[in-house]
Amino acid sequence: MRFCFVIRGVVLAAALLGTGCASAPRSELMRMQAQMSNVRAAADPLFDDLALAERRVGLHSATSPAIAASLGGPPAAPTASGCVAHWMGEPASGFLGALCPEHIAYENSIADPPGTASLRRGLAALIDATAALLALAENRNLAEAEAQIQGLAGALSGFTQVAAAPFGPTSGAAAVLTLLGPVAQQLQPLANELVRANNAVRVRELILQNEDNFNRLIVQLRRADDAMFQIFLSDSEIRIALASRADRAALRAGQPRLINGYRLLLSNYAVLLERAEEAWKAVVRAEKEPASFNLIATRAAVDEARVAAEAIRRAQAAFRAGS
Amino acid sequence: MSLNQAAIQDAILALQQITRREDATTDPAEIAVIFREKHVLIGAISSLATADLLGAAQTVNALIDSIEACIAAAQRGPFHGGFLAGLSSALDGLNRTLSHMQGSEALPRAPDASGAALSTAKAKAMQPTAAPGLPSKKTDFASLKAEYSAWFAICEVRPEKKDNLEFYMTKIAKGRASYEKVATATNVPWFFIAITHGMEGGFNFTTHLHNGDSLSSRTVNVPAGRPPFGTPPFAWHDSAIDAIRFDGLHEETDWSMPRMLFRFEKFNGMGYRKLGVPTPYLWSHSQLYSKGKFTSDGNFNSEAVSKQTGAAIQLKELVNRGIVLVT
Repeated sequence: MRFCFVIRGVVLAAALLGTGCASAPRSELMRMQAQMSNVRAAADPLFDDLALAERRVGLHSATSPAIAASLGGPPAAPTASGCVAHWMGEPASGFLGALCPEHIAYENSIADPPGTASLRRGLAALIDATAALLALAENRNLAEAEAQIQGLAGALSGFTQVAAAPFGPTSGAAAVLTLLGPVAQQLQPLANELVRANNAVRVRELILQNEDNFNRLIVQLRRADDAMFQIFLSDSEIRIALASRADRAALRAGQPRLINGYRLLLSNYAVLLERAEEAWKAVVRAEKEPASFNLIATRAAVDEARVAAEAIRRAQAAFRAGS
Repeated sequence: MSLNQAAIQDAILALQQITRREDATTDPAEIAVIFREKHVLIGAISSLATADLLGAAQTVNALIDSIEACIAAAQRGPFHGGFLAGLSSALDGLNRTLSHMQGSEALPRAPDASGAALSTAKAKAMQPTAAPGLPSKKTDFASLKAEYSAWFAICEVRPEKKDNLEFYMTKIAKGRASYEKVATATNVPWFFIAITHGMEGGFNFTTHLHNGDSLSSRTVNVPAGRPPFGTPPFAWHDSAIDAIRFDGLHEETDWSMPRMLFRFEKFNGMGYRKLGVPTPYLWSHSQLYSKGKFTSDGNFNSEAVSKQTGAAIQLKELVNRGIVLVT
């Protein structure tokens, strides 16, 4: 039985607690949402860059072995589907002689390459699930929550396509990213339940049921940190190696700033995911132990999220400006 | 850090070295080699993470070949001191990582006295349809000799595992001179030493064959204090000769194919027979094995699949290629 927790005489607390004893942990969900907004702010530009880098690296995994083979190097291995693409034309200005199914994930200009797509969908699933839980916890009507629920369902169904795509050159990420889909899929029952859940009591149950699913998804997203770094590093090195002698010196000179910039942004991303993990733990804790609600700590966490948002904005502006 | 990440970093260091060398050298022949091998390196870096660990090991193997080609090209010209030292360092790192990749897939011992046998129905269900029935549950050589001959005669590598087998063949061919040196001193066939080295030591020439301890000192783990002669660091073949003598293999006289398969299987453990499952130590990656293996905790997992290519499949390929003759 839920213990009734009331802070008498504190107006702000009453506002945060919303509908009182029967409500889901609305304040903690708000904190979680704030943290997830920060993660998205940090991740979106990173994922945009990652998509470009992954696409270039992915293309090289097809073209470079073919070029080497055309110059007397070892024959290019067939792709997983058994396709072999030979290099046509000059080494520096030719093209592959076959469009293998595995190349499409990197050559198309419509969809993210597979590793980036997987990360984006994983993050979107978390953000939409949090928003939907909050909307329902606040007893907003189902129509308001529907957009988030549809977003969550879309993010989850997207994993089927990612899993079906050949897994890309994610530089150490294969193990991490291939786990991301199955972990995110664990949220599918939540998506189904959210459609039916229209009261705060049911939301509380859903939080408890999905404690591990959220935790594991956040952990997987965080573990992809180094994998993303390896993509940026590989991309940078390959661009230097393939540049003309005249351009190489300038690229080399700019490389430390570029790579250290990504190290900073990726570190921010990881720290924000750690905070999101803490925020989710607070949601669950508030659900399991209602008396643990700490107004000051919650307010401090929301303030911290605001400060972090500003820090992210500054870090990204500095990176883009080259300072 | 994952082994793939370690390999990528070594590959990037190598790419940096050869790109700098490309800037510095004026030898057209060397520039041509570097241009070609640069693309091999880039292809390998790009695809390292697409494969599982043994797939990545094959990629690393290609990287090592590529770096060695660059070293060979550079040695023809002057002013290559720092370049060769840098590349050699990357090469050492890749060799170490490759051995770890290969070694991490080594099959744990199959304890002879394991848990209860699987039911015949369950054991059968685990077998591919091509298997000629369940393996014998007996464990003495006389009872198994005919089975080894029959299974060896029909075993074939699975088409999708030919690349894995190729990896083993490449490593065996590369190390052949070292294996032959040990064979000459012990009368153990060089290819038996080679296959054992791959299965147990990941073809790592920087560690003792006894137990994988570093050659920089005598063995620390069981058997400790080997080799008892000489002064560290030891040459791999000197230590390997001691390991083979320590196991008494130098006194064996029967090196027929069935006897070799028996020795391989006995070395890993006869525990699979009690369960009615073909041992992956011999038959993995062939049509005679599909799944089931002992894990490092000594338990049998009916869904786990060995990633190594079985010793019998390697031996059969060496025979098929006319590299060795067995009776």
